[in-house]
Amino acid sequence: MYGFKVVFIPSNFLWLTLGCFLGTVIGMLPGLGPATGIALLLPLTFVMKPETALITMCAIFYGAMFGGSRSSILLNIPGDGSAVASCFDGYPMTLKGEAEVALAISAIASFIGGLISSIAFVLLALPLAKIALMFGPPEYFALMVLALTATASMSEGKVLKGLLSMALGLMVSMVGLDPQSGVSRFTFGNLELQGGIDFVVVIIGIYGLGEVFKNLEKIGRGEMLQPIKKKFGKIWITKEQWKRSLVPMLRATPIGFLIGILPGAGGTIAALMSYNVEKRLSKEPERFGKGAIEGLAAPEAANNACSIGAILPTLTLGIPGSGTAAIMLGALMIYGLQPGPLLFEFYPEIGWGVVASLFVGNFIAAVMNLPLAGLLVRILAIPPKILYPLITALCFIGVYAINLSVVDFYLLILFGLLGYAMRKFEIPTAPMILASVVGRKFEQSFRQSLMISGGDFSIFFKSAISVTLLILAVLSLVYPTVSAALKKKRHAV
Amino acid sequence: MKEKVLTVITLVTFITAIFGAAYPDKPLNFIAPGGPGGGWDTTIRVVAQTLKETNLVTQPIVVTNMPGGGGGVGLAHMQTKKADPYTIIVFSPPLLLINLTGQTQYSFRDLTPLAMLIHDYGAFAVSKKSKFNSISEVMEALKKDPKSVKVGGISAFGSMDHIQFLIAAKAAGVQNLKDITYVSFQEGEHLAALLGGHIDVLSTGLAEATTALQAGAIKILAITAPQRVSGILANVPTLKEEGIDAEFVNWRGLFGPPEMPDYAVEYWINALSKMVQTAEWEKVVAKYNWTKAFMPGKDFLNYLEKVNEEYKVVLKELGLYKGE
Amino acid sequence: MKDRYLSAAVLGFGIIYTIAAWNLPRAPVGNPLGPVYFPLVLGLFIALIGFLMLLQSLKAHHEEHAAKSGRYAIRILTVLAFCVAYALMFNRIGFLFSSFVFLSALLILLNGFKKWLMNFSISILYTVGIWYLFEKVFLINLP
Repeated sequence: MYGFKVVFIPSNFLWLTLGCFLGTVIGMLPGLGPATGIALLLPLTFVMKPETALITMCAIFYGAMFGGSRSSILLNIPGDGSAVASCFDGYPMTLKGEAEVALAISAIASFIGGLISSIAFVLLALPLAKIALMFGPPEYFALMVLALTATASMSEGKVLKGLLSMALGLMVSMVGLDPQSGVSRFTFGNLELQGGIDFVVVIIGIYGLGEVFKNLEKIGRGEMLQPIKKKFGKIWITKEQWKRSLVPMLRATPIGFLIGILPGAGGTIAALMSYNVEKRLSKEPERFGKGAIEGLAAPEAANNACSIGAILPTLTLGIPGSGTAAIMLGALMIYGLQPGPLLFEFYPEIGWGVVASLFVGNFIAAVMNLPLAGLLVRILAIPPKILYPLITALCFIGVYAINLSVVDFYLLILFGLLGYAMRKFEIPTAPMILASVVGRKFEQSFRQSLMISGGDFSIFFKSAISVTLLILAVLSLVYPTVSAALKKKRHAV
Repeated sequence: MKEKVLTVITLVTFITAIFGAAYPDKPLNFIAPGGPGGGWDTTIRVVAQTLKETNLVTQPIVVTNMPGGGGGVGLAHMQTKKADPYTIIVFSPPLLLINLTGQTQYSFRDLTPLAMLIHDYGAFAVSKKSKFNSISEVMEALKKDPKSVKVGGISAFGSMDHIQFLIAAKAAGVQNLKDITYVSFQEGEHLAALLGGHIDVLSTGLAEATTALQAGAIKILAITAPQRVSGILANVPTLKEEGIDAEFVNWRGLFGPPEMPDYAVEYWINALSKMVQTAEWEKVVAKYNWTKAFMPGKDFLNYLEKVNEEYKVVLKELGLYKGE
Repeated sequence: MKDRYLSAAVLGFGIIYTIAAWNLPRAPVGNPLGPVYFPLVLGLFIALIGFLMLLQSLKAHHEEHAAKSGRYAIRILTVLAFCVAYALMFNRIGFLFSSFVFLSALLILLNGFKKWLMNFSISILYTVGIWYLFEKVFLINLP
């Protein structure tokens, strides 16, 4: 209760609202995710009191999580890795003319995911933080294997192409200096490539520019001369849609929250995993990818749950759970605050203030996003022949914002072409995105494990966690093949 | 009218030419070659903050993190900013180490040293539940079996966290230094790895160790300083007190890109020499348990030449030196 | 047919990548092959996928209609050329001017030259708006 008092101090509350708004705007722009957003606005927070600064940063954080999926749903351009899964069913919904429903369910799912996670945060902060410690390199490796195989095998009948897509993503993550040895790999002597390829460039290229190229074809054929949508309805959902989405949201929240607690796993895995789970559990998996509302609700809830989970180890153990949380940790230390269990004892206004701001900020972001969505949806009224040139220009500037480097422009064009080619050859894009996000950690955790064990592979089978995860990974690869074979048999009989 | 404009323009050019007052007239870009929360990141953010608080620099300062390659990525990035007066990076011993071990072709000679600011020291930490209670116990275990203790740190294999431990181990009389397991972690993961029991000993910096110590999760066995430091680490013995004749200084300083213009170098030496005398600086140095060690441009360069030779000797003995 | 070409290309690429991986520099410290293993396995993995896809496509016999995309290809190539030109210009002539030209060119290509007034005003609005947002609000320097 003490925390709510802190949040409702007028200046704190004002910053919370402003932070949510700024975060939403930043989240919507391609290339500017929550991490970049907080880093950009960090200097602004130096003049504030520490608790105000942290509350503002948290607000930017959820704002960006809410905003990140807007462009996924409306334009098929994810603003960040964690918004990729929202494209799968969100964009088809827009094409079906259900953009309002999609935006509404995304805000509602984000809110529910955030709310449940905030409650879990308060009740379980310390015991859950311990789970994060059980994850060493072998467990991380197993988790990455599961995330990759589950995503690669998601599209039935195209497992090979899914694996190919995954391999492409891993290739991207190999570029740059190798952290364990300092050897530079596949940089072609280019200095700026030594830092590796930022996965946001990959995302904007594959989705944003790739989508533009694909649509150029349609415009040429005269298929897309009219705006996607001219009439606009109310931003709300029906009872039936609510019924369909509720259970998926409730399932996705714990998945997202738990993955969020693990340092460095992140929203992309959370969103994709929960999408996989829903598709596998669904009685009509064929609806997924064609605008199934539960396929949007699940990753949206998981995504927000994950972002709140990521704050937990940051505050309780001083271990950041994501890039964004790492920046917040850095900011804490600038104020001379030591994160850890004692934070709540020594500085209750900060510890509990942040927790209370999770509740209030989540609510504000949801309320703000409903009318905002009404405005945003009007983007769809812009004729494609004007909309697509604008999107192209926006892709470029978004990519520039990441590293301030023109080298990324060429990479963007390259990935744009690749994205176009992948659409032509019907190669799924999600495994590639995930692999380029987690590829580095995938390789490093593998090598760290072997270093710890002195080259002994049995280390991967020593802990119950890693064995369970690896078994799940094998099952995820075998399952689609078996189920396809079973179906065939049934048809044959 | 035209004349007036012309006069103004001449006047402005004149003033700029004489005082160089225009510099810096754009936001400045500070680079931490490591991730948020690490030693480099903390140092440069604290410097940026102090410069702003004391009004020594009024232009906004933007801090960017460029992690990777034990600092090699940031160093490589600086090479693309040749002669740019608006980009400044922080570095410490890894700048020399990653070059000596052959991980990067660039050395400190490919940067413009502006000033050394502080000395920091290394710390060796174990989890609270660890069976080790002193650094000598760790060394004894290593003497019996170099594979029995797993050491971890943030910097890459062969860089600072690794080397400072090996220097200590060597002085303690451990043989087969090359057989000691060292695992390099991403920033933020190293503490989790120690607390979770995935590594036995964490070789890190004082500031990082202090954070975790206050959270009550670790024991610090020894520090690499020549004498004890004040603050909450006052009870931690030095290596020398533990009978290990070794020390390791983690100096940190600011650098400009290669061929940074002279007016910019002068400006920064001036600004930084004023900054280190302020009360604000005094406060943060005490807070992070650093030791003040200001040394401007030329002297700093000479110091680098000197320590570079010292590291070379150590690395050669360890078989890690990959020079001529 | 399409899949047959694709799988052959994947197979070839996998082999090239494997060779490139083998030729990567060895680690100066630690296990010399440490940084090589992963790319190497990855290359072989890609080659294997290519091989399996080739087998699959040889088994499948259904004919596919090759979509005629010649005319649209020209349009895509033009946009591509604009993109490369933009990347080349960006640092040389600065953000404001290059972005204006880039966006105008794209709009003229798609929206037609007749609506030039609209095209140019959109370009100016966009360019100045983004410039203001970055330079003044986010403090990111644009060239």
